[in-house]
Amino acid sequence: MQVIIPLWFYEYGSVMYLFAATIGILLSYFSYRIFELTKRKYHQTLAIAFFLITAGFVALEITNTYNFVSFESCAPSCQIPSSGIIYERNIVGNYIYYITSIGGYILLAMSYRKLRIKIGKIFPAIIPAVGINILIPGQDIFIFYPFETSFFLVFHAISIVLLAYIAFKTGMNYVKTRDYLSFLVFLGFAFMMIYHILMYALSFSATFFALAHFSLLLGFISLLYMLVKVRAGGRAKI
Amino acid sequence: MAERRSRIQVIVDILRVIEAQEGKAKPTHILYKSNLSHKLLKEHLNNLLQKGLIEVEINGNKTFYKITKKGREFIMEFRKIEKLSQAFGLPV
Repeated sequence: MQVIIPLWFYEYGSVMYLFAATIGILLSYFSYRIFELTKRKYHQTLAIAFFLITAGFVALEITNTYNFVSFESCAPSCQIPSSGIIYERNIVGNYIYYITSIGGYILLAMSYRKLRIKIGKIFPAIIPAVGINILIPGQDIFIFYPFETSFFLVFHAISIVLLAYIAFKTGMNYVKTRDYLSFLVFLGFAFMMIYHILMYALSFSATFFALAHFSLLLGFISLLYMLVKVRAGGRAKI
Repeated sequence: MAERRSRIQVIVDILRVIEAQEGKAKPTHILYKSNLSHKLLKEHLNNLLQKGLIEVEINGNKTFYKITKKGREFIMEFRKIEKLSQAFGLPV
């Protein structure tokens, strides 16, 4: 199955990734300010985590903008070739996104002190990802990921596992505190997890691509709203 | 058993005690309300004086500690930081 991305999406995608990166860097900055006062290691970890996630989205944003500029002449829809400089730059951009995002999610999970993540525990998430890949007819799910389909699925599988844990912890925090700010944080991470679930399930329907990005946008809007409410001195309890 | 307070929490607790007393409090009142030893309290009060978050007022033979404008702003900023940290489920 091929998923052809229309040109307009690259423009929308660039704006969206830039928005996500902006929220990420704000969260990183405020987390670092907290760390400067408290000197608690988990605040530092939180700051670095958001910084890494921001870096991933910046890489995606640059890649998307590059694609948009490269393909303007072949609008309304274009396909990224399976070789050449455009293909290579897409690979670099996406790998930076994969690595920094996974790093960011791992650090986010580690911020919840009682967790001791051992890298070995992540491997079980890879097995179903690879297994499902075998069941998918054909390997050219994405015209621009001809050799990286498995890695694409592995990345999203690992992200789902990590974000499920983070969403669980933030969800439990909301249940404990009944604070609407905690609920916004939980929503943020839940939508980010849904994004990865929909991207993982992309082989079943191309519609999931748009829904996934919409979910990601909702997640970051939730985190932005939380940040605005905190800085404006909003109510702590419902 | 309650978790030990961080240094910043102790500082904020002292400032909040003074603020709650209409911005001016005696050392003994601060001592009891902040749940600190005399030695530790003296250290923290000197630290707060140096940073300009509180000032001393001597009224006859009575000493009071007053919270400054900077001290009040610090408490307000700390409240925001506390909310942000707690929103993520991470204690300050």
